[in-house]
Order: sequence, then C-alpha cells, then structure tokens
Amino acid sequence: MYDRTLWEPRPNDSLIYRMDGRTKIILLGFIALAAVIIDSPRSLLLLFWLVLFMHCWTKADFARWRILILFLLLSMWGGMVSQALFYSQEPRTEIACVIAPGTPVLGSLTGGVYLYREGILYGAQQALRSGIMLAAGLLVCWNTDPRQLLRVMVYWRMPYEFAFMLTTGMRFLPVVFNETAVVLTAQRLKGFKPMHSFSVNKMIQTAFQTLLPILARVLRRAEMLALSVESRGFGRGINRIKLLKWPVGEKLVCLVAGCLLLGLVVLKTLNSLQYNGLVYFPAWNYLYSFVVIWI
Amino acid sequence: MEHMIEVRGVSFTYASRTRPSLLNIDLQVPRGDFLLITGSTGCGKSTLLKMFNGLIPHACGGTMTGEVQVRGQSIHASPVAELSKIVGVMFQSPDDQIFSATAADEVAFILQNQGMEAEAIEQEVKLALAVVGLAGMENASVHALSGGQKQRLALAAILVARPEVLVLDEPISQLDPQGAQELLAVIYDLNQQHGMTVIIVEHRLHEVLPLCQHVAIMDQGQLVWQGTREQAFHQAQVFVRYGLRLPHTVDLCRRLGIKSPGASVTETVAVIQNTYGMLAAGMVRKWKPGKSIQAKMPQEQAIVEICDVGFQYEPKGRFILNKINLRIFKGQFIALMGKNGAGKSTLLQIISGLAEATAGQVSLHGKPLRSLVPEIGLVLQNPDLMLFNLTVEKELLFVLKQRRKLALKEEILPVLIQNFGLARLEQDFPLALSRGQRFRVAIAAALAVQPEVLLLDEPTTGQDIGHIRAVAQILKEYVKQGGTVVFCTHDTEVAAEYADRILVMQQGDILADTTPAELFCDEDILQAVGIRPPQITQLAKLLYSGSAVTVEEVAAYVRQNAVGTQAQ
Repeated sequence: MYDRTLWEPRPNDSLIYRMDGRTKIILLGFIALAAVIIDSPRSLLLLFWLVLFMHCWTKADFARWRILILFLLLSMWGGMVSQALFYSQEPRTEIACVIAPGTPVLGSLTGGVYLYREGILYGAQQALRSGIMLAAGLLVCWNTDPRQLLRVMVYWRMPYEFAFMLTTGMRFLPVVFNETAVVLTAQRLKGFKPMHSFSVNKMIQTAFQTLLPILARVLRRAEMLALSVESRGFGRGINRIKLLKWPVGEKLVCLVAGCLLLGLVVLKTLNSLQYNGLVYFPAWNYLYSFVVIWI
Repeated sequence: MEHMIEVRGVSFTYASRTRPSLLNIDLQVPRGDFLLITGSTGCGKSTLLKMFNGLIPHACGGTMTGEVQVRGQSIHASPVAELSKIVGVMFQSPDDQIFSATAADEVAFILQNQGMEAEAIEQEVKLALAVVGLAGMENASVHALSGGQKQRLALAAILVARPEVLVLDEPISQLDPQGAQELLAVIYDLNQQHGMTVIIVEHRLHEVLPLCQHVAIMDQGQLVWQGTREQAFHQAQVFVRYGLRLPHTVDLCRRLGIKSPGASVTETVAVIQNTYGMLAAGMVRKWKPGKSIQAKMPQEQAIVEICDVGFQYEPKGRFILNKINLRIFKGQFIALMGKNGAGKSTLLQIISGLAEATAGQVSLHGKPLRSLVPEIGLVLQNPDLMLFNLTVEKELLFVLKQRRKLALKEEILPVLIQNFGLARLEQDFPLALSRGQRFRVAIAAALAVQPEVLLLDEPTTGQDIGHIRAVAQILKEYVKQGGTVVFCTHDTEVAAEYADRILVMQQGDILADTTPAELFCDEDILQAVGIRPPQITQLAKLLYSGSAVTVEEVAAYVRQNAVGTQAQ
C-alpha cells in the first residue's frame, strides 16, 4: 500500500489509457451522476460491475486489485453496518438486538440498539454508490497522465489555481503514501511504538507527528512542481491551450452517455410526478414499472 | 560583448522573511557563456536563478528592487511564459518536477503550451530525447527511469523548446559519478557545439569547474567574487574562505604555493615536476603509504557479523542481496559504494534490523539480530522525514524518551547541541531550518541514545562540502570514542578522505572490501562499478606511482621528496 508505484499512472496500451482527457472526465462525471440518480440496487450493481470490468480491461495487476478490493470492502462494510445500526426511517424490521433496552446503563441510555433489515439494504445501496465512485476514480487515477487532466481543465476555462490544485493532489497521492511509510519507519527507528497504547492523547500525537513532516514535504514539492510547470510556459497567463483533435468515436460515446443520463433524469422525474399524483398517464404504466424496478 | 542576461543592483526579500535573500547583485552573462554560480547552502543562488525566467517577481511573492534584463528585455515587462521561450530552467530534483506519465508527454509539455502543432511536436520530442541520450524511450514510463535518466529527461523537457539560455539548479546533486559525468557531457556539448548559454548552480565544483568559463561565488545573499575559471584556479584561497570545494589539482597547487595550471592532472603533474625538479613516475623511489591509508585489521570479535545474508522482496523475486558475508568492527569508518540499485540501502536496512534477511543471519555481538535495537542507529536518505517534533530540543529528546533514557538528558543534550552547531536553535522548528541544519539535527537525534553503530544512507547528497566536512568531523570524533560508522555515498573524495574501509557493491554482491588507497588504485574494480578515482589518486600515480587518496598526503610527499628547497 505504501509502494508509490501502486498509485502512479502506468502507461499501457488499453483503450482507457489512450482515451482523450475530455472523454475520461466526462465519462467519470456521468458515472458519478448516474450513481447518484439511480436508486435501484440491481442497476447500481450492474454499473458497479461495469466499472470493475473496465479495471479488468486495463489489466490492473494483483497489487492494484488488492488495494481496490480492500477499499471497496472497507467502504461497503462501513456503510452497511452504520446504516444497519442507525437506520431511522419507518417501516423498519429488527433482525437482531445488539444492546437490549434492559441492559444496565447502556440500555437505558440508548433505548436499545438493533440491526434493521431495511438499514442493511439502504446501506448496501449507499455502499454501491460510493463503491462505483471510488472504483471509477481510481480507474481514472491509474490510467491518466495528470498533465492531460490539467490541460483539459484549463482548456475548459476552469480557474488555473483550482485545476492545478486538483491535478497536483493526484500527482502527489503516490508520493504521500510512499513518504508515510518512510515516516513510520523513521518513528520505528527512534523507538516510537504508537500502537502500544490506545490512549486518545497518544493517537493524536502519532497522527500529528506522522502528518507534520509529510505535509511539510508535500508543500515543498508542490511549490517546486508549480515553479517547474510555470517555467515551461504553463500558468495563469496562458491562453493558447491546444488539445489534440477529439476522436469522433469518443465524442459519440460521450454523446450517448449524455443522452442516457438525460433519459435517466427524465424517467426519474416522470415517475416522481406520478408518484406524487401530479402527472399520470395510464398508458405509461410499463414505463413507471421499469423505473421502479431498474432506476 | 552582448549580454544575454544582465542583473543590475538587484535585491530581493521574500514576503515571509525580514532579511533580504539577495543584496545588491550585479552580474552580466555574455551570450554563449558557461557560468558556474556557487556558494554555501542558503546563500541565495536558487533565488537568483528564479529571476532569469521571471519566476521572481511574477510567481514568487516578495519585494524586489533593481533590474534584470534577459536579451535586453526587462523581466518586469515580460510574463514567465514569454521568458520561458528564451530561458529554460531545470530544478534540482527530477522527481519533484516531472509531471507526466511517459517520457514523450513530459518533453512535449512546453511545446504544447507554446501552441505548437501536434505533428511538429512529435519530431521535436524525438530530437530532444536523442540529444540527452534517451533516443527510443519516448513511450517509457517516467517511473521506470533511473535517477540519471530522469535528470536527463528533465533536461530534454527544457531543451525541446530550444532556449537560448539553460539555467540548471544543482543538476547532478543526486546522481552517481557516472550519471553526473553523462549529464555534464550533454550540457557541455550544448554549450560548445550549439552555443547555448549555460548558467549552473552546483556544490560539486570539482566536477563542474573544469567545464565552465566564468565563476561567481555568493555568500549571504551577496555576490562576493566573480571572474574567469583561470582566475578562480589562481585565487583558490577565495574558495577556501567560503568553504567551497576545489578540484584536487587546484587544491594541491594552493597548498604547495604554486600557480595552478587548472584542473588537468597531467598539466598539474608537469608543473609540480618543473617547479620542484622532481623526476617522472617510475624514476623516483617508491612512496610508502602513510599510516592513514592502512586498513585497521582488528583482532577482536566483530560488533556486527553478517553470514550468507540474502534478501528478496518477493519469494520468487530477484535477489537484492546475494549471500553477503561481512564483519564490522568497533571503531571503523566504513563507506559503502556502488551504483544506484546495487543493494547498499537494503544492506543498511538489514544491518539496522529494519528489514529481515530472507536467508542467512545477522548477529550483533554474536547474538542474532531480529528487530530494531538501540545499539544500532540509522539515518535515512531524506532526513526531513525523520523530523517530526516542534522544536530541535524536543527532536533530540524524543528518542531518549522513547528509549526511557530521559535521565541522561542533562548529560547528553548540551554535548549534542554544542557538537552539531545547534546552539540558539534549540527552540526552532526543525523543518524550518536550512538543509544542512536539518541534516545535523537528524544525525544528532540518532546519536542521542549513543548507538554503537551508526548507519547513514547517502548523507552527502545535496550537501555542500562545508556541511559534509562538519558532520564528517563529528562522526570521526564519534568513531575515535569507540563508535562505528557505515555510510553509503557516491562521493569518492569524501569516501577517500574519511573512510578507513570501503565496501563496493554490485548487483547485490560485495565486489571489494578494502582500504581507499587500494580500491582507488585498482582500475579493474573501478571500471567494473563505474567509479572514478579521486583526482589526487590519479595525480599521485602519475607523479610518483603512489597510492595517495588525500591532497595532504601528496603535498607531504612532494615537500619531502622535492629535489629543490622550494617546498613551503
């Protein structure tokens, strides 16, 4: 996990790596929006599989799959457990009791803690959403030259500082992981054993002492990178970003994806209107059913 | 003569500081010049460089007075993007400035920013990569390149725009001698063959001085000396005054009180022979090596013993170390040399107990070593990542506290502060100190628990010779008091001057384990591992078939053996 090469984009001959930066950003945005719009667990699962399939397509190695699976499992487990415990909407079905109301102190304080079936389902749905975004984000990170994204963002008139900040974050992500490992090693060399105590003070001290040198280094590196980039003619005053021709095929893919997203929004709106009794066409019942099941 | 760059009465104070970083600088750089700017760390060299392409005042906050003109154009009136067409700037660490995933993309960046068409860019990129010796590596991942290749890629990323001025900030500080040689050859060729004006900031003067035409020395924000290279050779005492490194040939002439002919070994030998009436090598009596170059051959038990140690990162991966056998004795000052990737850092990590050998055994005082122990200290390559406390004092006490030796505070702390020149810095934030000071704090912290063995990973990288000598003297003292030092370095002169034993590694094996004098006279090994002997060793060999490794030794020999009486 601390190996920086795990986080750095690796040039490869996959279609995703070779894709134009504009296509990547647009598709990433569409996937993220679709994950927010869609409520159906089965469609979310399909979208999730689609993103994982794209990872397979780029021939991600075992170490990257391990990281991806670890992150996905952690986020999914966290989402499902928290929702299962704290789901507050009705109806809800108790499937297990964690703390009975009669338990001394804790029972009276909490009024009992239960696991709710609806909470698990809702948590799974949210976990799929975050999993889709996480997997899609990592897909772009691992297969995109940060410079490509920076140029696209500036081409689209995004403020230079903001675009630089975003891409620098991406550029330094691998470095931060790598340097965290070095700092932890340095702490070990000095006899520091943070895990020997679970006191809050010790944990705060450990976090502070780990982050301090990393932050200082990242600030220095970011400044150097900014100076280097500006020295190569890229900066606030730039007004002549010329990108390579956007391939027609990729444009079409973006167009189709945009239409699909628009279709999702229209269908969702129609269903919402009929659900609230505002606009209802009996002839469209099959459409309403489709939305309920798939969207 | 037309001036490519003209600096007139320039002072600059960073927004976050009260003291000026540059003070009344006047400098003219003629077209086609090769200018070396040098000075101790923090003297303002890098700040001055940032003015040449307008990063100061356009991108760095602060107050600037005076005028800088690039090809007659004021930097105040021209944006950085415009000046970058004339002046290409390359910074110190390639890892911090490389931005793209492939070599071709990195090189193409500046041309894309200048609005060049994609088809033309492709040709230019190929050409630039070929100039720096990376032809055919267009699609190589930047992460797969070696340190030297990355540095050359960073150079190609500037050269591709065909700047008239090439500005380089410590370009060889992180390279091994062979990598540095290759990069300097490219830069020299650009200057000589293509007439490119080169301005280079460097601490490794012994490698750059022979190539440059002019030299400027800075100290505390001021330009304290400037002149031609020949003038620099004749006024070597100026370099000594400012704690700068000289080529051995020049330093020897200075010590002998004769006029230096320059950095050439053969010319220096001829001048010494003429001046002192010495005979050519082979005709003089053989010089017997002095005590300083004889290896210590201790009889007692080794502190650290390494038996058949192998190491690999993955069970079926390649061996980083191949059945290494090594004994380290008390009071030794050992240099570990070899190309990048030879296994030096891994060996240090195994000795320290940080990494576990996958085969063989490491023993400390005869007992197997399986984890980190207070008896062995390790200073990592980047000391910044070893500093994580709010004050220098807390940093030094941290390790004592962790090892439950805080009772020794009164005894140890003042000595460390005194020896490492950290007086009046006790309450300063360690990461805000200068590079040399940060380095000294990291070593002082490692020595706080008085380890028996201190391991240092590349301690000379990016340090000026003043800092290196200061730390080396402290470590020498530590060795005299019974400590043992093992350090990795690419700097042959430092290894020759301070180490009493040198281990040369190649692809996970120890190729040589000998004294500096023997190693630097063994041409077969030197050639095999790409190490160039110190100039003084070559000179001693040529002058009297000797095997000296320090300037003092040769100077002493010449004084003792001179036919005349001109020795001083």
